[in-house]
Amino acid sequence: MKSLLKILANFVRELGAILLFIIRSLFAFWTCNNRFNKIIQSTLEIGYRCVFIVLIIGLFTGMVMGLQMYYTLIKFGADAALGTAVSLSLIRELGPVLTALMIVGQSGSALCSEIGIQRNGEQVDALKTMGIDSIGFLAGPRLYAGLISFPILTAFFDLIGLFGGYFSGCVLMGLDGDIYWKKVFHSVHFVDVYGGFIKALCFGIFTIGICTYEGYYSHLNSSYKGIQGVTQAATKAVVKSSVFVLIFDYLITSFLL
Amino acid sequence: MNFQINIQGLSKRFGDNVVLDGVDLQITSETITAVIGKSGTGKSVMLKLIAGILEKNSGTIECLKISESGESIPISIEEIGFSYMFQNNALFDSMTAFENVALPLVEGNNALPKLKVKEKVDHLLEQLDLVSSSDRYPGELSGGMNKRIAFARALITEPKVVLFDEPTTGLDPERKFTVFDMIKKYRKQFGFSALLVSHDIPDVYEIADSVAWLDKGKIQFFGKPENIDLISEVSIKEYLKTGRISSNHL
Repeated sequence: MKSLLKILANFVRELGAILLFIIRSLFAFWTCNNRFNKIIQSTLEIGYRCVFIVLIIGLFTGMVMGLQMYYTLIKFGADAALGTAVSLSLIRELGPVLTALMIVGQSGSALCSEIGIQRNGEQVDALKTMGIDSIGFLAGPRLYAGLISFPILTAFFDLIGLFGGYFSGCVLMGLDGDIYWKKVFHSVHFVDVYGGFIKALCFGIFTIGICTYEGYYSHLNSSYKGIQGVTQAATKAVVKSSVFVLIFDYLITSFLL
Repeated sequence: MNFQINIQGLSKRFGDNVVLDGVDLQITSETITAVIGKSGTGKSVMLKLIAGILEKNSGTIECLKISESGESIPISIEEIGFSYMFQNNALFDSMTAFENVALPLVEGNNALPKLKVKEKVDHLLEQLDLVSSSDRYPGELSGGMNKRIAFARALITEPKVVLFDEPTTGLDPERKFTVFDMIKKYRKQFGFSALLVSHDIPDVYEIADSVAWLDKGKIQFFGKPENIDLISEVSIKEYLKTGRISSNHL
């Protein structure tokens, strides 16, 4: 019981530390110069790096959804509802969640390692001696980039996923394509898209926040130092971010429904 | 600007490990102070405490501006203007030599317009014979070149105090003397004070105005290099003159 309480206390303390780090980064960023360039560069770093993988995963997720839903719905004679099932599942749920997990795996771990290596190489300390706010300089632009790139990549995922569902359900399984797209357009409302984007924004700020936090404080790891500390930090960042995405997906969904 | 940095009773511990235990030191305008001592005696820690990278446990670091009338006005080390040259250079791998040197002018508190930055950086790179390397990344350059880039970055803001953390580590004897010559030359040109952590005994005495020997958490000797001869303890004198430990006392 005692150790359970300790784990819980550590969890709450760490969550609070990450939240404070995110708030500090967002504000400290405005003390930096060339802010626009930094945001563009970080958006390209986080977003561009993930476009291809998000499109591939989106396409195949849509195709699997199309197949699975088709086989389920046809049992009830409701195969015409395939467009509804695929679009709502993708836009409300799978799009933001899988996109976030892909970005965390692809860009989150990379930026955590990058900051961790800079911490090891004393570049972070060097920024301080130059009068530069290291948190604003290193984490700030990446957080804003997360806010921009997560919703855009989620939109890419949703769109290509819908085409994937069309391909497997209509082209391969023979469902009427007109019915599929009619159902998509009729069943998806603004609130569904809005909900998906709220999730994408939350995942964007928190997952990038977790990854930058872990990299920035990688030197405080008492068990692992140096490069091992950085690899540990990157692993922790990916695991924590992924767990966060799944837990908060449930919480946000329950608020939005 | 004349100034004085008075360090008194400076202490730092990491857990139970007491690294500095009441360091007293004084740095004045346009002097080079060499901090020597065995590895792990807290020389770099002392520099980091002065720069504000680490938090001290106790003691004071007082910076005073000395006016023409001789009045002492307390100011911060940032107001004096300082820079730090790290042992491993701490250059950003993803930035070119030019961008690394320009960084304090582009992003720091006293950022300058783009044209002015280019003019200043180009001028300094020319002085340090780094023009041909300005578009290259630290990974593409030799250790000596990277040292010079780090030196240029430390000087670009025209600081009044430069903290050098083992600036000659990993350099061959020839390059080591080049770095010492650079410090000596640019100290004259820019008029900065230097606090220089070094293992290069006795070579460092050639450029140092005073020597501080840090051992067992305290400054055990502080004075001009020529005053080392006046030390009565033979083993200590030998260490300070040669850098070699020949006694259990050390």
